[in-house]
Amino acid sequence: MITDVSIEALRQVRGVLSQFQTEIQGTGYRARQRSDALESEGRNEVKKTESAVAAVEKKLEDLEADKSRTEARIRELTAKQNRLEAEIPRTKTEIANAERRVDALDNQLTELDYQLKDAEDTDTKDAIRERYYEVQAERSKASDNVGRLKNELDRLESEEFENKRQLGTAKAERDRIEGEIETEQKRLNNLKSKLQRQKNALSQLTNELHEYVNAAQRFEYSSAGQTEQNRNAVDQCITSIEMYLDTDL
Amino acid sequence: MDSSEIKRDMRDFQDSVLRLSSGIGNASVLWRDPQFQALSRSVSGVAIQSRDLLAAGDRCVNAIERFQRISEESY
Repeated sequence: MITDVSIEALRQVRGVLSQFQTEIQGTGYRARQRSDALESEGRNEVKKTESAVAAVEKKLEDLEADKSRTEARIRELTAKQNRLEAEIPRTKTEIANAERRVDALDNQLTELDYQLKDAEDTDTKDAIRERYYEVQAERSKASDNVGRLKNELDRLESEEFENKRQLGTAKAERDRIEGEIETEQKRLNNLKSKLQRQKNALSQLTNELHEYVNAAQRFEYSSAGQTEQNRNAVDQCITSIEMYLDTDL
Repeated sequence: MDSSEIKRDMRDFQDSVLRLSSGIGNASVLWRDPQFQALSRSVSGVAIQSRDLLAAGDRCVNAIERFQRISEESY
């Protein structure tokens, strides 16, 4: 009875040991596969972050170039604005002078008109008329000059209006670019911090994975040997008992 | 990246060790002699060794999850 029970127990133990052996077979290999896959995935994640950092750095370079171009444009428009702001009052003064000149010539013509009416002899009248025509021609030139200067003032004021508009647009553009640079710079700082932390985390993960693979391989090797040894011992016991049971007394 | 495969491997592995321990433990009802005590000690040794692997697995899972949290940061 004791022998029968022992055989049953031994067979049960043998089955348990065999099942365990089968189950743990390949533990080290699986651990290595997982480890390789995770390391590779981790390196890819780091590469993605490196690419993101490079893309933001490139974007910042482009934005800085845009900003430089816009600032150059602002300097150019500001210089033009300063020139226009000096030129417009000068032209206004010139117009005022030219108008005064026209008024003066008008007065001269009025005076000559009176003189002509008061003149008695023909020579004097001819001389006054000649002078009158000269002043009239001069007045006509002065009046043309007023017109030309007023046109010039209109042109300058239109130019100033357009220049101010362009200057406003360029300044708004510079503000927009500066805002974008600030945003991208923050993004770059965050990404660089992420990259550094990710690299550290990957290094730690790699170490832990190596430890895990080593532990799995060590376990598989030692427990497989031990289990095999136990199973062989149990097999021997079963064989011995079976031989004993087959023996005729 | 996720830690589910390693977690599953660990669970399977832990289940195997538990099945081994309980299988051998069940046999103790039918087998009581010094030989069995030796076998039982040997199996206990295997279970103790398995703790190293489980601890290494836990550290791996933590490291994977930490790495994953960082990787998921979006800027």
